[in-house]
Amino acid sequence: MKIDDYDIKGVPAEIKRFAEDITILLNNGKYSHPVIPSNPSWNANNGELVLVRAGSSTRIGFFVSNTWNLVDFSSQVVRAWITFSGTNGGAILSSVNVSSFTRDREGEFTIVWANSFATTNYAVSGICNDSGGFIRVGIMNTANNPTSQSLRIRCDKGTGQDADPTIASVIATGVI
Amino acid sequence: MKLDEYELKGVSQELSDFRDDVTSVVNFGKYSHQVVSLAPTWKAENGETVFFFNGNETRYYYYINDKWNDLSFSTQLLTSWVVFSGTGTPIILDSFGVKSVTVFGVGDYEITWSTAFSNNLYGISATAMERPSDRNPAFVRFVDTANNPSRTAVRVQVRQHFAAAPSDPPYMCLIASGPQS
Repeated sequence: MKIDDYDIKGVPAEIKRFAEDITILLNNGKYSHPVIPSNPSWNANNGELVLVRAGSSTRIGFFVSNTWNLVDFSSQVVRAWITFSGTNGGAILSSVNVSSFTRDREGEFTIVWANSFATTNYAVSGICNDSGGFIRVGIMNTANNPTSQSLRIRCDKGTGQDADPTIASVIATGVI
Repeated sequence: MKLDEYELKGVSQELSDFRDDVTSVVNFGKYSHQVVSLAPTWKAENGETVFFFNGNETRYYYYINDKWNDLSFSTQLLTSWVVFSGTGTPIILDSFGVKSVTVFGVGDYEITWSTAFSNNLYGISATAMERPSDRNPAFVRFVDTANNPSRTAVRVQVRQHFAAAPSDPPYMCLIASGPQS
């Protein structure tokens, strides 16, 4: 709903300006939610919403069912994911927040994040199909892996033989 | 944007009170979104938002591109995750919504959640780093024991792909998502 363009006559100019301000604010989405430094605890009206900026963490707080609920934007959203094919040199099939993907050698892949994580301690999980063997995905145990900018993974048949899956997925979450 | 402090001289008390209410709502973040118990179906203005709560689930609906879209806070967010080193005494490197990691044996860990899930059927996924001595990817499995996973914890074991020997991973990640109590 939008406020109509009312021509309020016969009132002081200040009232006209007050009405104009309200109209601009509501019709152009200029309402600002409060930004507070710690989680809300007051008794609010259902539907009230605040943003919390506490250290490096940003949260949204919303009062529904007479309770403050919190969603941590820093820790509760998927930061990056990739679905790729490892065959024929490797190719990204789809991705979010991935700047590049490289097939380093058979079964070994490097994923570079478009936006780096804040530290090297972010959570990743991967899975792939069995193309010509019983393939698992693991995080490579090599120096500086993972880094905040990239992740190296290995797909292996379990007999020490690396393999290229035709499809594999990795998702990552953590503070960026 | 904030409203200026309009004085509105010479107006009725009721209009002054109206000014005070509007200014307080707008300038002090007291605007309350609608909270509905049925998913919105009406034709709205682009940019309109409502909260949905049906007793079990909370969703955020937003009207964009002439249609209602929604995000479920109960089921579409990562609820908990942990990154830890499993060699020796487990060390949590970073986590969210995790109370503790306890070792039960070689590669055998119990992750206890800070807040219990609503039931024991929530989504879990995990990946571990291979041992430094070989290039044999580790895999993570649920420990086949009673009441696992439970609402409050999950017990997993890391094994080497080849020969499936239990193994302590130097680096291990586990992610969980689902409605919480």
